[in-house]
Amino acid sequence: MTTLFHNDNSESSFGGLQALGKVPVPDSFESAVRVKTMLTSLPVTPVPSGFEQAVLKQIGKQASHPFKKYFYYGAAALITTAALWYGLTSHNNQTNTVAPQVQTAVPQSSSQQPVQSVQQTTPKEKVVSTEKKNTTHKSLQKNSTQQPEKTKPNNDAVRGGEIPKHMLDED
Amino acid sequence: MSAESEKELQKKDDSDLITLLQQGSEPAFVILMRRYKEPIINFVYRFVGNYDDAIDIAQDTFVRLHKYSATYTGDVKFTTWLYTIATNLAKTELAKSWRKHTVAFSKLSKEDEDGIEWEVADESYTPDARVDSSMIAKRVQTALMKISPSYREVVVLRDIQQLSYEEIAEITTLEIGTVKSRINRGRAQLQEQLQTLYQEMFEA
Repeated sequence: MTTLFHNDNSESSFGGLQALGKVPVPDSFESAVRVKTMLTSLPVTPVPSGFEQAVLKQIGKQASHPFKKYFYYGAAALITTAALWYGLTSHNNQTNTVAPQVQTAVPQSSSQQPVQSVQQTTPKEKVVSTEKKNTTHKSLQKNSTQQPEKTKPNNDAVRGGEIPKHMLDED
Repeated sequence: MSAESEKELQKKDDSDLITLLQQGSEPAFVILMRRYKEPIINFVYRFVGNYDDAIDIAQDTFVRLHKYSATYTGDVKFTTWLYTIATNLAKTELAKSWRKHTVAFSKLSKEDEDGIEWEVADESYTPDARVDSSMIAKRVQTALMKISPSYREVVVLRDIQQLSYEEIAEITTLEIGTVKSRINRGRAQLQEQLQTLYQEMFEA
């Protein structure tokens, strides 16, 4: 009976695993290893300090989005009261500050150059500007006493025109 | 977050943490962010090549993770999902900057018709110097930026981030065969770019 394998040296005679031959090594093998080595040895990119806080802050911004409407209403109400308060306090300040300017301007114009000094000197401009302020203040006062809910600052604030920066930063 | 609860959360795996996040646990989100901020920043930086852009993109990645955590179904690994978000954002940023550069260089001349001199950005200082302080790292990163983005993406995910072919295929929505061939081509392009560096390093 013929056997498939010889007893003494079966593998070599048949070929066996050796018959598989050598697996060819690609030409680019070494350089590929170098590439991999270089890429893996690249330093890890550092994480800047404050990274987490920045992410959480951004998330906080988006989370508060549905409440923006209420925020703007609140901001508008605050601005209205601030405008009224400013109007009242500035009126008191202006009456105190304007008076000395008028007093100093009048003697100069009356004693030395009556016509020219009134027209050309800067104190007059200041007086005019304060008068303007007084008129705006008066209109504010008038509105506040008559129709407080229809005051202009309130509407402007709702449109987002006059919201103070520090309030926006909180958003 | 107390130290004890933080320790407890740190022991949990990604899927548990994302489940907690879906239930509204903010500490779980913080743990996930701490766990993956470094690899995500690293991947994005190696892909886009600009440190500041990389930080912005990485931040947006985590913001989106928080925003869309409810949409995570668990079909893929959490890291795969996270890398997908980062990859998409990075690709968008690359496309934007590519358009910007194209417009800039097509319109840019040293002196325009009105005789106004354009101010060209000084590139001698780049924030990337903070990252790649060594000369070799800088040159490897420069070489990376010279290869095609589609190859760079997979090479970075495979050789730097050490992701599996399957994961890369899911992130890039490519077939595994395509991923492998792109990695090989990318490496070949990188070899060409780094030829002189090899000679200096290995044959000197």
